[in-house]
Amino acid sequence: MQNVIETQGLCKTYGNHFAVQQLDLAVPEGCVYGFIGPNGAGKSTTMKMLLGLIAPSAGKVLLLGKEMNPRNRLALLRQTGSLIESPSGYGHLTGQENLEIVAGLKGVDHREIDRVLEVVHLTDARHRKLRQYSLGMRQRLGIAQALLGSPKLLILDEPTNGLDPAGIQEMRSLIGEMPARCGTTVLISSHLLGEMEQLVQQVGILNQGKLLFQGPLAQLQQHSRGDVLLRLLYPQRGLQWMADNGIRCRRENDTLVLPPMEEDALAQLVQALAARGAGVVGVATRTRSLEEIFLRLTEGKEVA
Amino acid sequence: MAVCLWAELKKAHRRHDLPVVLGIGVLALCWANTMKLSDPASLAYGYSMVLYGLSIVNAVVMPLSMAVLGSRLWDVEVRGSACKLLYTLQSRGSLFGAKVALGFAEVLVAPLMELAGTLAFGRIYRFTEPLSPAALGWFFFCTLAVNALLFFFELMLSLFFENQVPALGCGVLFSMTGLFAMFMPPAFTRLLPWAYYAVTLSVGMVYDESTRISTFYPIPYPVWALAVVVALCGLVLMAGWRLVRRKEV
Amino acid sequence: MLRCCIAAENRKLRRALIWAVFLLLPLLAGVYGTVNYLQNLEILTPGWYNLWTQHTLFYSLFFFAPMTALYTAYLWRLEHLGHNWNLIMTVPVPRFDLYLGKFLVAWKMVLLTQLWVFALFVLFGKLWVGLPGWPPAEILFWAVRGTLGGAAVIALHLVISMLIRSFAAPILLALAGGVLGAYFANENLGLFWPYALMMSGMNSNRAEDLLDGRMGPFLLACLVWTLLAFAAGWLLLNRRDVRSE
Repeated sequence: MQNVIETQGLCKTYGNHFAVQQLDLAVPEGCVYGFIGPNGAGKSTTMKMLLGLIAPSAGKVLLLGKEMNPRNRLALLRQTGSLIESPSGYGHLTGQENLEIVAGLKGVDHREIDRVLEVVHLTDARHRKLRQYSLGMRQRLGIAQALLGSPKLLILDEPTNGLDPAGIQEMRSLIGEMPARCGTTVLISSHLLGEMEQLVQQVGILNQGKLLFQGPLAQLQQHSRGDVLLRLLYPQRGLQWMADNGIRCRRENDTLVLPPMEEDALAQLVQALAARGAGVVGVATRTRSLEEIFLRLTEGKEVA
Repeated sequence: MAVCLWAELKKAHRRHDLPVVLGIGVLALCWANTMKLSDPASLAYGYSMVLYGLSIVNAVVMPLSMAVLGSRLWDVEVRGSACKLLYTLQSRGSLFGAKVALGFAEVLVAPLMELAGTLAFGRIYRFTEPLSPAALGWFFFCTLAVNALLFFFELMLSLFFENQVPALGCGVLFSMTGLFAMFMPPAFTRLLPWAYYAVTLSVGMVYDESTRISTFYPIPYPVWALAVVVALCGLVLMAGWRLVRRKEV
Repeated sequence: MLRCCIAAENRKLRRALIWAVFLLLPLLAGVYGTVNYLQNLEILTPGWYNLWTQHTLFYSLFFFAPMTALYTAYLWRLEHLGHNWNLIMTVPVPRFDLYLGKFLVAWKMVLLTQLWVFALFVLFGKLWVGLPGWPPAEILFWAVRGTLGGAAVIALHLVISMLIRSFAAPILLALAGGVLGAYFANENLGLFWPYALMMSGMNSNRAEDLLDGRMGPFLLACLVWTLLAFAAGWLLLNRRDVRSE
């Protein structure tokens, strides 16, 4: 599988401040890649470097197998659609006119405009001035601009900002379909991992300019196997046995909380406890939500 | 009110208002300096000549400059789409009041510089004309009043249209017609408030075609003209205040 | 590509009202010039040449530059507002074409304005003043030649307004430039100051052709100033990171 986006040792410094540090992104073709990190992690800065809006302090960017440089810039941009930071547009012009400008500059047939307006559900509002649009409508128009010309690569910076729940759902399904329907690869950023869960196949987690994790979502989900909860009739006996066998655990009322473990080991442990007369009445594993994993990662803790 | 003014000053931070404000005065003075002030024939009329010259310079420079100041003052809110926020934080009156106060302080700078400049010219070129503090003071107040009138008007345009083209376009048009008015019959000039730099002038000039020498003479202070400007100032401020109060965001 | 850029710029200028300034300014200058001409008939030598001077002297000296600066400032303001730098820098169009597009749109406006100035001149001359015959063709040539000086001002202000995000400040700079231009022109150094080129090209302060025999240096000066400004703009566009707000 070819990587549609690849960065090698990408850095951006502002004075002494590292906005992005030694970033090696790899976005495989035909996937939706969730680029996730808290506010100010360097997501927008990275995306701007991908698009050649700002120059990297070090490292390089490869899009669609070609280096992003002044020579390849236009050829690459022609196959890319993007929405960075906030949606762009000219307030004194209508939605339709704004799209005409972008279509003209992209060299795209103007009939495309009807299609993208349909896709983002702005057909009815096309003749209203952008100034009168709500934040969500502007966001849709921004996405429509990005979709013009059916690009091979879509770079979307927090595209669900300002959308209502229905709009978010709609946007997710729209973006989710892109790889299968048009063969598009999508890089989408967000500060919420949970929001991306049903949408992305690959994730990259960024914090303070550093990539903390990159890989398939499934790999990250493996980390989600959480603590084991044992509810006992006689917790004191159980606790005693644990201490004797050197197993770390914590007592919460009538429940013992154990660190994650393999299932075989768990079965043996339950058997032994029962034999000791601890009265095992419940076994449960607490699954950690992606949000928790994300928080642990960005707070610099290890993902156990 | 003090807090609002403080907020205005904070917004002016890194907006580089000071260079702009000083630039206006410097431009006017440099231009006035191109008159033949050191000419022995003109020393006897030195101060009158500077005041007369400055009134023409002001007619060209000030309307556009005031448009620039007014537009910059309001444009920070437009750019930041800050009105929504500000109207929930402070009363509209205090926002408008703070803008007017800071704006007036900025407007004050150029006439002050002209005042100082006139005195400096007198020293440098050794004018022999006795200095009339009253005439100088009159000139200062009239310039300030017309400047303030134009500033408030342009501020109002800026806040009414948000698109800053009308305000600046008006500035250019006022500057041009203000200059034209200098060469038109006085009856016509009096119709243009932005031409009152000339109407309020307490100095008259006769140009002798044969000797090519200009002589200057004092004329009684046209108090009515200053009154007109001040009254218009009040009207424009009231209109601006109504606009701010009614404006929906 | 370039054609796309020009079309895009023209679209952006819809509903901008800015043409009103370009319509009004020459009109007022024309009315004033004609009135002044009629008032001063005893001092002036009557004729088309002197009417031309009256029409265009102050216009080209002080107000052409701010008017043009207003236009270029508006062209950039559209991009400075609303995160539009991100948009224009990610469309697959060479940056230079974008820049040139803005220049050509502004230059076209100046050309139209100059023709408007000339049309008003002829109209007022014939119908209001009642001058005999038709104006000399060379005056039309001067009007068009003024646009070359105008090109230098446009190019310069495209850089200034791209750099200074304030809308209003560059317009004040243009006025200062014009005032200085009067000084330079007076000292016969007009070719060394871009804001004075327009007036020289328009030949608006004297009846005889100021540039008679000096067309070469004039053209060279216009070209050099325009190219210098373009080079600066080109460097800035390519060397600087895009800031969208």
